[in-house]
Amino acid sequence: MLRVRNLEAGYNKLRVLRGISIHVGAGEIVTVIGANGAGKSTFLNTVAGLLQPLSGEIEFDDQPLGRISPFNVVARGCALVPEGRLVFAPLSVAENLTLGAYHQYRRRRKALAEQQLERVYALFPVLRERRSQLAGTLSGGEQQMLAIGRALMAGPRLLMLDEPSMGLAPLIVKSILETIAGLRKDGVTILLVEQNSKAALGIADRGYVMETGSIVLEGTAEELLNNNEVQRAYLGKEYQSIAER
Amino acid sequence: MSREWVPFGALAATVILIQLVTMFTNTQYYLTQLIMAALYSIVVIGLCLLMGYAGQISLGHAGFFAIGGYTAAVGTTLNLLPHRDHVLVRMAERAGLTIQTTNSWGVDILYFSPWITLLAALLLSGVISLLIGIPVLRLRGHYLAMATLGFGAIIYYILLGSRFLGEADGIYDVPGFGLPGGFTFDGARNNRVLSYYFVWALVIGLMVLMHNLVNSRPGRALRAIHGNEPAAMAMGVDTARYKLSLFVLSAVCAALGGVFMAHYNGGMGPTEAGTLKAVRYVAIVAVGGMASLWGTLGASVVLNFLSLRGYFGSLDDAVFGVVLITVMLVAPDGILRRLGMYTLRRNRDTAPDAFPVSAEKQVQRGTA
Amino acid sequence: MSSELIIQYILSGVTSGSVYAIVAIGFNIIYNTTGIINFAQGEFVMLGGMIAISLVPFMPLPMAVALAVVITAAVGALAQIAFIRWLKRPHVLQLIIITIGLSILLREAALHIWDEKVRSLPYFTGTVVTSVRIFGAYVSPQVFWVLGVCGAAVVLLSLFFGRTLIGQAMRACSADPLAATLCGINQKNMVTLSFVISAALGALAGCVVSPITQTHYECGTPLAIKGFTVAIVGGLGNSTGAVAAGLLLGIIEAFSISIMPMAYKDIIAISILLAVLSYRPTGLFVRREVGALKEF
Repeated sequence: MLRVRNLEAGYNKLRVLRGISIHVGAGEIVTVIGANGAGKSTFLNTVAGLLQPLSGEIEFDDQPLGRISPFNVVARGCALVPEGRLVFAPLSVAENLTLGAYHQYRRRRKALAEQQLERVYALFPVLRERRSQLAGTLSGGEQQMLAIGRALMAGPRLLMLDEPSMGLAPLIVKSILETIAGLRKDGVTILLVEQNSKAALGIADRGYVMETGSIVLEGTAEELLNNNEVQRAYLGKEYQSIAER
Repeated sequence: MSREWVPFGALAATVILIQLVTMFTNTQYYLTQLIMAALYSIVVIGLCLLMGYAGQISLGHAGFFAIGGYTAAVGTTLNLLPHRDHVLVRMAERAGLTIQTTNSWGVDILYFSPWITLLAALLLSGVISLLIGIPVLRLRGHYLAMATLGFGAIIYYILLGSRFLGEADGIYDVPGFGLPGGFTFDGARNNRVLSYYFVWALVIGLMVLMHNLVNSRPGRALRAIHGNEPAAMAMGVDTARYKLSLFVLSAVCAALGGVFMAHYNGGMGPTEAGTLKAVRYVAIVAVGGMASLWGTLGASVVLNFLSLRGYFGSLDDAVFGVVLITVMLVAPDGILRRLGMYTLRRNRDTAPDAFPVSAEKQVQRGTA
Repeated sequence: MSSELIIQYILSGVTSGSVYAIVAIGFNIIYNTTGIINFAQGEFVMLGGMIAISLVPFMPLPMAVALAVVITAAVGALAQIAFIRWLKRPHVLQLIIITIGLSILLREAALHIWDEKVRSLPYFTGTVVTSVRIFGAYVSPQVFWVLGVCGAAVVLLSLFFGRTLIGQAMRACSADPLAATLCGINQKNMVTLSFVISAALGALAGCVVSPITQTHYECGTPLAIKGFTVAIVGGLGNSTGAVAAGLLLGIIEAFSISIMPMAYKDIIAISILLAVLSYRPTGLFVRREVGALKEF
């Protein structure tokens, strides 16, 4: 579904991504893990069109995605839940969700958008309760749900999430990740970028490990969870406990 | 003489050369506009310091120019004879601070010496800028722009609405400024050459002063303000104080220009405080490259000279509008810098950038 | 002061105050979508009045006003597209200076198109001498036109921003341009649209007020300063606050005539601006916590 080849991108002449190749098959849950500053967010922003790639290819559904405007990427069916949630704080929850389906309304697919709204409310019932509340007044977890719900309103086939666990309590992280995993049955493919490697690998089929702008490791979630390097660097296991095994 | 002073020597030489050329080609009338251009340059150099080095925009400097000009004009046209018995007038007269003469209407008048009014003008503009600057400089961006624009507008409306200040006509019949050596700075034709050298000496002196300020320890602090205010503050630089002192300094410069303009033109009208004038000063600093004293001086002399000679015709103000927009669109860090003439500056590497955007451009230039 | 005189003052204050409010809302719309202050806002008011005055000999008044609004809106769009839209990550100072330059260009263009004469549109109903008696005071019917049109504009705008998808999208752009883009909103179009709306709004105000205050190529700047004062006092970006502050300023100005020379009338607004900017830049009608989020 998403195929990225030799992607290089960055800010001005500062190259952050140095030849990234990643593919995500339809119906998969794929995660990209890595430390802070590895280039994970840069990668997602480039796929979403917020940054222009310096070189390399991005294909979505066998169509090149590299040079189209960011607001058209959504219409193609590829939505990003940005880092830090970025809900429209002074707008109500319902307005936030409506705007998520902006391109559906623009194409006069009102019925589709309303159908989608029901699905989002079913997924996150708390959003229905708070639909007339201002988004800025929600708790962190609720804001994350709203951000995910807003992205889902666009009816994406690929949902990209940037650090959805950031700053949330472990219990809430668990419930949000479970919801994300459950989206698969609705035919949504997931590309999840996380610093919380354990939680991410817990729901993913496959994973990539990114370090200073390059992919250093890839494999199934199981392989990565059991990989010594990954355990040491990202799962917080101590040397000793790995060596003793 | 170190290399540092070469540009100043070059400027002085140019000033002399121009005078000689006009003398031999019998085009001395150009000196009039060059004198006025120099007077406006005094305002612009001060503003350059404020905008380029402290990153603070001011649309109020035409107001300070007018404060200076009107103080000089009022002080030297107010006839003190009817008040001769007043204790203050008597004291001033005894101290030799007044001048008694017969004006062009054949009336005997007694007025304050221009030195007194010069001092008063500088003090007044300093105090007003201090009072305005303390609250206003806490603002940023468009708030600061609007606040200073508002200040300029207040001055304009006061000048326009006060009978005492001549309303729309302004004040005229301002005498010349008597300088040591029996020479008078005024608009009279036979004083033109000396007046020319006098103002340009003033400009060069001011440039030396500003140059030293920019390269001194406080000067480096000033650059830090424009570069990154929070970082400067974190390093213990009292940014608020530096911003304020620059604001006051630039206001006093503007008043200085205004004082001599009033003496040179023999008067001043309220349009000198108008928004268009203030915008014009900002435009010149922008063309000069924001943080470039020499660029600003060059832009000021060229643009003011052309404008005063009437080359822009009825499009005078429009030209400055176009200049402003063009500079901001194509070269927000200044036309001169774009043209590569910036090498004139000795320490270009330490020059602060006009805008954060240009930092990126420098990176690009560096790697290209 | 007789009660008739008081009513007279209040009505004239409310009239000019509602125009200030409209100019302030024009500032707010562009500020909300872009974070910049459009220094050329007053020139839109002037242009609207001037264009309508030129058109009125050739067509009925309502049509001239409508066309003037459309043309001014087009000028706003063109200016934004030509001078602002294509800039990549412009600096605030850069944008300020560009809109200042734009205001000078519009003013000078008006000077060359229409010369320096003071003109005005005919009264919408009746003539200069027509008046309506209200609580013992005599007022021109044009006052009600100004109040009606400004009131309707405020109501329509709040419906537009609250109820329509495009209006919500514009608010989304002001809340978070990045997230708006990720929702599929073309943020640049929204910014251009904000210039169109505020230019149209300014032009409309310029037309209705022209019979009373008259139109002159230089009348934009004082209006811009007062509109900005009102926008600041009401809290930048807050349109309800702008209406309240506009009416307040109008009434203060009207009453000031009775205690100080007419020539100083314009100083009041600026002094209020400086005072509010210095001591409470968030505006009088905004809670401090909300204001704390803004950068001044």
